[in-house]
Amino acid sequence: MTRGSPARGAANGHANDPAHGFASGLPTVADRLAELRAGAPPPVPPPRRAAPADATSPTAGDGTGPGRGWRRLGGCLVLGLLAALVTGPSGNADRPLDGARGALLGARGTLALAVALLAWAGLTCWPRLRGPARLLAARLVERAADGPAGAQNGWWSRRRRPRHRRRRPPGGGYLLALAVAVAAPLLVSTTARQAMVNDVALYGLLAVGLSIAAGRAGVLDLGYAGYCAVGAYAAAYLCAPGAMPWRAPVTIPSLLALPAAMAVTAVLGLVLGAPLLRRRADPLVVAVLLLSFGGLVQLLANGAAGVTGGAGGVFGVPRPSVRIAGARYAFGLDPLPYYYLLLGLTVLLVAGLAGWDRSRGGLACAAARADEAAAEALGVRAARTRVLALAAGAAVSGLVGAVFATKQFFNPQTFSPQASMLVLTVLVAGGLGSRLGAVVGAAVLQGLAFALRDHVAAGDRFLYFGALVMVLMAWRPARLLPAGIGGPARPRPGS
Amino acid sequence: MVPARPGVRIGWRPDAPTVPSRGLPLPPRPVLDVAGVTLRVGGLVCLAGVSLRQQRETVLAVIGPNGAGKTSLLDCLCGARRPDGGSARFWPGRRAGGRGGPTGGPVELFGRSAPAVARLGIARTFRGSALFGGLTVLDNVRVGVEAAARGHSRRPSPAAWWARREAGPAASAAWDLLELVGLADRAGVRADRLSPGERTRVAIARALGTRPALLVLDEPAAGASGADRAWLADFVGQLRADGLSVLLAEHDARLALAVADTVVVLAAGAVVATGPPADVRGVWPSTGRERGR
Repeated sequence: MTRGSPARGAANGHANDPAHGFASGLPTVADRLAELRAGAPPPVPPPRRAAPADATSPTAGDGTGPGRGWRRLGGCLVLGLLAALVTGPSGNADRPLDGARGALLGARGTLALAVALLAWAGLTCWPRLRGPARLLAARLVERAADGPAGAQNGWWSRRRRPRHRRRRPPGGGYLLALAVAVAAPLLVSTTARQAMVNDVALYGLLAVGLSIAAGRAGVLDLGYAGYCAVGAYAAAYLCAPGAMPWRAPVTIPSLLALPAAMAVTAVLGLVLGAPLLRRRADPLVVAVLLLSFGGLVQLLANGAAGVTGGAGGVFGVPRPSVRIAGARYAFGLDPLPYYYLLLGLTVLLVAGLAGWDRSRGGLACAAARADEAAAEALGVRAARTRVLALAAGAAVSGLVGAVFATKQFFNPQTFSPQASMLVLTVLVAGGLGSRLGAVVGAAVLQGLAFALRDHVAAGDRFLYFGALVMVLMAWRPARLLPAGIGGPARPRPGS
Repeated sequence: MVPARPGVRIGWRPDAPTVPSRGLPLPPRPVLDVAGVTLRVGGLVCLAGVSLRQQRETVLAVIGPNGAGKTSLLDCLCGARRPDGGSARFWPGRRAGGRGGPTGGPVELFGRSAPAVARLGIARTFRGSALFGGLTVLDNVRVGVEAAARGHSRRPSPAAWWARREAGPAASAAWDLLELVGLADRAGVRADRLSPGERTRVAIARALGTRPALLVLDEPAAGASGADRAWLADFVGQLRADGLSVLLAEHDARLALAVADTVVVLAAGAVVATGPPADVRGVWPSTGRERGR
């Protein structure tokens, strides 16, 4: 027996030579095998405490304890109080409590109290109602699916029918969303149309772009509006000679500025993502770096008046015009063409992402996000994947910035860090891993903002966004649209 | 004089039937040669000059108590940690598609990143399996297959770009691997819904998807039931019979002694004993605690 030295030329099949014997005190392999084959007795689980017996215990976590009910009542009352305060009138500097008095006394306070009590009652009764409600819903769905043929089974029959899942055509949800998106601007007023372009379409495209970096690669890009600013200024620099004090040597058409802005911001994303390539790079440090980048871009745009035009913003970027087969079409003041341009870009991007998600790169990205060490042990270059995703997201943001630049006047305030946070909020509300979710999140959140525009100050809208996202987190952890994980297993092709 | 090659065992039982030797014995060639690995973390010496050598198509088991440095050694070999000294040479072999050394000679592992080591043909599993929880079982295995099948399996047409991910050559290889480990009926389940034994199987299938020359298993039997251990021992025997080299770090000494050709006993970061299982049996401390496992 060699001690502490490498085994030179280990003999194959040494272990199955019975001549070696098993002289030590351990049982032989055959014994062990028999033990294993027989199956070791399963470990006895520790006896569970009879929980329902002590309903008065304050630690009973099943919702039956009185302590929990009182806590819930208190929580509902506090939330109602907060809601009344937030939505009520504001005080002034001399008498700061006036606003609170106005908010809590009177109809608003009563309404908030009533809503809080109703919410408490609903939450308390929900465990008792949940079972029958689910049963009723299941019966209704079953009956609706069965049609008249299933009627003789009886309404409450306990017989479980085999569930036939109808095959939906692939992408049915997408077609529905596309139809709604195409038809919606034709049915609403001009104000709403303008909001659909400026708020819903732009933020939807931004959120889909951010979902590449934040949702797929897991890079928290907190300066996402910074790329947007860079794209907008790049477009203005390249296609409007008089718009900025800094003049470009050549002038290119507005539509060509879109890919140019994408290229510029993609390179910027690569540069900013380079720290991620370091061994043991901390994603949080990179997130802070990107956050400071977003603020820095706005500061530069504001301050460097000799280059960017300063806080006054940029006017006069020519609107894009298309010349197809002799016919010339120029974008005008009407928001509708811009809406459809953005819709087309979104459809292209979502379709590209759909293909990418099922490709090798998308799978590697998902694996690296789930467990970086395990993915790297399989040969996935996680850091490189992350930097590329960051650059791709930055390119989309630059594209949006360029479209925005050609659309109207813009100033540095447009690309504030608050805009980055809003894009992130939209994405989180819609679902981080979902393609359509980002667009739906933009529609829902900005629709909420549009509905509140006459009642709530612009700065307070974020309160409602936050409340909506928190409600979603509590009741629908997968957000508006959950990320698909690949669907059910298919039978193997060819068998 | 070189003794005749005894042939390949099927399974791990001592009385298992052996396949007759394939003609001339293969020239003995190592697949892994580790010399003097040292690793210090702060003031703690995790590995103090560990040396070992593994022959091609054998099972080498590294056993030792908790904290002996088994996982640290695997981390160093697979590029997850930078050791402070020593060298590790690896012979990529033809099985890995001729990757690695230009002349088929050994390549140095230390100094390479984890993906680079994986692309040389060393696949690794982790303690606790480390599956990609949000992905399906099939996609877990597909990650390994896709990471290895780079370059030469471009999508043939734009139509194939839109094909379902359950189709295609990579997915069909993943299906094959799942059938090999007996989990084809669980292909569509999310990986975090599996039992520990099933997770180990998926982790091994995922590692095999990269077509490795050396399979590194880090405590695959941790938390596994008796039946899972028996399956694991059988499966390692099958892999060895198929010509794969397996490096196994294991806490369960009986399992390791049963499947291994060579056993390296590690204690407090140093090699205590090396040799065939029957020799090492006398060295391994037989404590009452071990008997309960």
